[in-house]
Amino acid sequence: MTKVFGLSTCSYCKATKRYLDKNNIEYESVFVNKLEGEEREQVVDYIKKLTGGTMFPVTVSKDEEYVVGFDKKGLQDILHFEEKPRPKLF
Amino acid sequence: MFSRWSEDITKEEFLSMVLPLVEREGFRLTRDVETRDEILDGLIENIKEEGDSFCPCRLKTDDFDENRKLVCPCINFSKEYYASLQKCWCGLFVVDQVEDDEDLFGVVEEAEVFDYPIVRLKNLAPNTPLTFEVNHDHYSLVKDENDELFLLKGLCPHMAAEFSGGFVEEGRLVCPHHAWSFSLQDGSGDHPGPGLTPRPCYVKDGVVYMEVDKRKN
Repeated sequence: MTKVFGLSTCSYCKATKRYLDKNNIEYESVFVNKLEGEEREQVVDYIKKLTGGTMFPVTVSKDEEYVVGFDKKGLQDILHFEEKPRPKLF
Repeated sequence: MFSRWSEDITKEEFLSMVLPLVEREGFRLTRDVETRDEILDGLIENIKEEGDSFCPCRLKTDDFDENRKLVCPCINFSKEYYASLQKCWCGLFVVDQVEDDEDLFGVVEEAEVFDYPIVRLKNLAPNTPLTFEVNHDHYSLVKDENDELFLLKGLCPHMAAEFSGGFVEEGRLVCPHHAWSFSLQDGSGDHPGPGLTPRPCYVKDGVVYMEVDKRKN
């Protein structure tokens, strides 16, 4: 399952999820800043090992490929989808 | 918990405090209004919950050394990196000469060749060198009494000292340590050996820029 690790305060995280919703991509959302204790430590360690830092959002595919930030092309590449075209009005 | 912010801080109050700091570095507030408001909401939430203006797109940890780089405005801690992105990480502030702010939303591409905003011209005191390091090189920027700009690359070749605290006298940059001096025009020194290297810089809309090419170092 695709996971989107984000922060509840982050506008890029919201934009990433809106984009995935718009393209019908299923994902599990994790607000890292709302986690506590050992669970938070484990997730932060995982993010640091994977990406080398603590910048968000981090979208991770089921194959453990990842994208940091709101990067439409990167998301399409790791999640193997093409952006839905805008509907034509006429 | 000590906080430098008032409990009922507003977005406008926050901006009134941080914008002068950001603008002197050659950045400005994004004109992408929707993004701006969302980011400011996150910043105000962090002020109230975390005690300071931690970037809404970065995670505060127990590491003080890392946390101090996340407090908005974060530009000065990683200015070269943010200049290459043309914005700070969350995009609240962008390099002054950016033309399409909305185009930058979500983009995190570190450019190899980019224009580095050194300082806003009005914040540069005359005959007082502004020293900075970019792409592993040291620079001194001087505005003389006629508002002419000189950008010199290099440390003082005497003891490899920065020119911070130095001064300008009769058209020469003087090292504050042992008074070796260098021509603002061509960087030549008053002692045998290498001088400093003059480099081009330019002003656009009141901000002094230099071109950085990271492929060279």
